[in-house]
Amino acid sequence: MKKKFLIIIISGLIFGFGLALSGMAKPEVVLSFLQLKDLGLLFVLLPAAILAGFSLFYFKGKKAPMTNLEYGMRRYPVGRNTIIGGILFGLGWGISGACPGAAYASIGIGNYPMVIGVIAMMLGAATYHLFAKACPDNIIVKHHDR
Amino acid sequence: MYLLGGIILGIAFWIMYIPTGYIPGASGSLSSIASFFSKKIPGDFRKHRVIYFVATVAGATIFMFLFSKPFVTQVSLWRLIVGGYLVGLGAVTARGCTSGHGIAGLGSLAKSSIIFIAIIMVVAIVTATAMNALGVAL
Repeated sequence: MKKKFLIIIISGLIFGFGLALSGMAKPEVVLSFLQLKDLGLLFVLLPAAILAGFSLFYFKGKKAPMTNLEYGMRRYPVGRNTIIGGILFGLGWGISGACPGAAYASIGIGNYPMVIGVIAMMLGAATYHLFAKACPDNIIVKHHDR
Repeated sequence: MYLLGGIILGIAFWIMYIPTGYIPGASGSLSSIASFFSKKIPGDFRKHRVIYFVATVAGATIFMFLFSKPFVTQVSLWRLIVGGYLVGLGAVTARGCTSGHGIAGLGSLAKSSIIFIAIIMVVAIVTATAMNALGVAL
């Protein structure tokens, strides 16, 4: 097996492990955070973003040894899509208490009804590609230095 | 547990990003798996993303077997279906979700991600709080 795939597997295993450990894999925990009853999830997202940030800024401009890809930031132009997508996502997150990664981990901890939730997410993704993609994104702020 | 979980998520990012330069995000897998069913859906990095999806599920299973027990949510199926659909549609529209925008995007100090995360937090907090106040059952 290619080393690259081994890396993806290890990273995914740790990602799922961390999501399960943090409680995000339980929709009840996420919903209680979203009702501001328990602010713990901020302590999940922020350290993860800060650690990711260290590596993103440290390696910027260098090349990744395994793929020879130039390390890039994750910056996209801000457009109408960012705002509309955020509103739709926020509504769905508030209704279900599940975001994609946490939903995958939720299946992993035995939460079998979430299989239906993830299929619904895939239908949502498919809807965009099949019907909404023709709408232009109307870029509001260009911010694309990778 | 929250902080430890967050640190582990950061380490998972490093393990992917440092050797390969790939920026992981969970919602990419949604389109990639859906692309098996329609040629109109782009399946870029499909193999990578399907593997990442399976590994994420398996990682959570490992945690459950080692430190916890099986969990089944009390949240009703209609909420998972309606909410899940909107989450999938929104994530692909905005090009990312809580992991892509929330971890890598915020880490890049990207305007697109700061705006996206601010919007989802406000909208989801209002939605979840309002549903609870209106007495909508889990």
